[in-house]
Amino acid sequence: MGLTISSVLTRLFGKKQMRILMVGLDAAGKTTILYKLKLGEVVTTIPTIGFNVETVEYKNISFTVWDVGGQNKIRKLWRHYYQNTDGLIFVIDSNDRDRNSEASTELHNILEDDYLKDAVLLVFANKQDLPNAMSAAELTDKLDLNKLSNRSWYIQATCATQGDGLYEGLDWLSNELANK
Amino acid sequence: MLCQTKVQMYQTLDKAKQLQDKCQSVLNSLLRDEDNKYCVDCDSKGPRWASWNIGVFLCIRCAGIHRNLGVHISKVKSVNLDSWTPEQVVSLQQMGNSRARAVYEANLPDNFRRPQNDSNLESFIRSKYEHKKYIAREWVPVPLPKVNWEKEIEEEMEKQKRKSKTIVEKKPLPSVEVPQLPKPKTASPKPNRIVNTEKVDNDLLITQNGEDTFSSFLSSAPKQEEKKEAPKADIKSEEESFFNQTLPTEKEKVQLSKDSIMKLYSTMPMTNFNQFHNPLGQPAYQANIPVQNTFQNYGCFPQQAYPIQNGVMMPQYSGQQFPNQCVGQQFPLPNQMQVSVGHMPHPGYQGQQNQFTNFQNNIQMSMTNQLSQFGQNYQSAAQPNYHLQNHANAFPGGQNLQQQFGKMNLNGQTSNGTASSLGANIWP
Repeated sequence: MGLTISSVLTRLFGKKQMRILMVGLDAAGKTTILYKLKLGEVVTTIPTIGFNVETVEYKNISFTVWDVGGQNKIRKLWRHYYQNTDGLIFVIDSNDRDRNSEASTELHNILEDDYLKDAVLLVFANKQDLPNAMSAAELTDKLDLNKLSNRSWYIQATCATQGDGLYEGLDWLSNELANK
Repeated sequence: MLCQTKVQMYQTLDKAKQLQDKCQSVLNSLLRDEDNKYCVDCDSKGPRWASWNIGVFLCIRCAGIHRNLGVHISKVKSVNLDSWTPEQVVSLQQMGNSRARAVYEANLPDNFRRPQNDSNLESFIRSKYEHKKYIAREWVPVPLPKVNWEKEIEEEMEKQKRKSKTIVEKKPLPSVEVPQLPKPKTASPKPNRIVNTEKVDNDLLITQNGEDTFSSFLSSAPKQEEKKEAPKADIKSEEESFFNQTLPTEKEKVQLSKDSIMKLYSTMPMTNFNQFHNPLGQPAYQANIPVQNTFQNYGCFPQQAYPIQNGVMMPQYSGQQFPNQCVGQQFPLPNQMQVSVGHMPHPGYQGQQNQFTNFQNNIQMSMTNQLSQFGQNYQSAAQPNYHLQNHANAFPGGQNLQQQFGKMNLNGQTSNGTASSLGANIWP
């Protein structure tokens, strides 16, 4: 009963906000995902130096998505975006088998930060259209996601250029937000 | 005991840092190479990105497109914003933009024009690397080299340690010395480029320039020699090229006399230059050139060659001969300042005699630049009427033409022949 009233109130009095930080190794597809969500089309991207930020409305939630460049030497800037983050999207290039361990290390580093202790984790296993892509299950293993404790996480196979899986990911995020 | 492990840890950290420094300095020196000053795909200036498995330097835009191909085709890194391993750096060192063009653009159509808009550029890059549409048939990919710089760095650190014990003052890091790079052990696909060093006595400017010029037309392998700090020469000589072309070494170049350079230009019919300044011809040509300073080079060419040849400044060249638009174009282009005084545009006319000494010092370099720039731009312009007569012949690898030019000597008679044939080829 209480839930229904609150959802009615939300409908009447505006949208929920969710601050999302999207990180991952370079060339994982973060910017492509951001603009596929925002514009519904595949834009020609260049490597992100700095960040992009867009708000995406979905299911009456306003997602503010921060997409931060993933080059090795600018990864140390990620932590400046951690504060007040409700959800972390970690994007991985499923085709890039050589950099699994690098991705895993980065992910676990990020999650150690105190600012992110309450953030939920959504992993996008991107580039599923490429020939040698690893499945979400395989990546779960490679990224040691099962070792995460006290963290609600979800891995979603995506193909940003087709748009496959992106909204499924947002669905999960919105559910998590509702459960909080 | 604890102290000892700490020291070891610092040493490892220091070693890692030195390794990074070394990678970075080699990359920077590669970027200074004339070969790598333009994006391999779109020709835009000053690439700062690279595809290390292909071995090419790219602009950020083409880097974005390369990333769309997937890592099974192209592995993109930023020169500055990523950390590198020695293997990745050596892979770039082995290939480089010129050689990569010889490989991946061997069968590019004669009249091909590099696309400039995003979607065309993407389809060009896809057909070039994904479908390998233009690749040289004989090309066999080399396995990634195995290199061990760590050992070297360790040795260097040892050496340094010993030195620092005797001499207290701090020495610069030895790791930045480029020539100490180990040569990759794997067989390189490119036979040694510096084949013939006996030609030193014969002036090779024409050969050299001709070769540079035409090979650039053809996007072929040869590297353009330019004046560099001494260490560079060693690397150069280590590098090898596919098609057996002869290119003079630094030493040979030093011995080029300016007389012979002048001979080359004195035999060029003047009317040929005028064609390039023809205002009607210009816009079409210019429209095809995205960023580079082609015109600057054309424009400056006769201005400098003629006055010096006669020992006095020829009045008809001071202004009227070269339409203002030609001069005007030199300035608005940002970041295009050439190193050599020889390129000084309009305001230099009055002071030109003062510049003669400078100019003569720079002439070798500037003319080489000009010719090769011309070559590059010529290619990107791809206008049918500018085409080489033997372009088609020379195209598969540029072998024919290079051999042809590679055998020419420049003494009185042949110089005329060469120069006029050069003229005939370049200026239709």
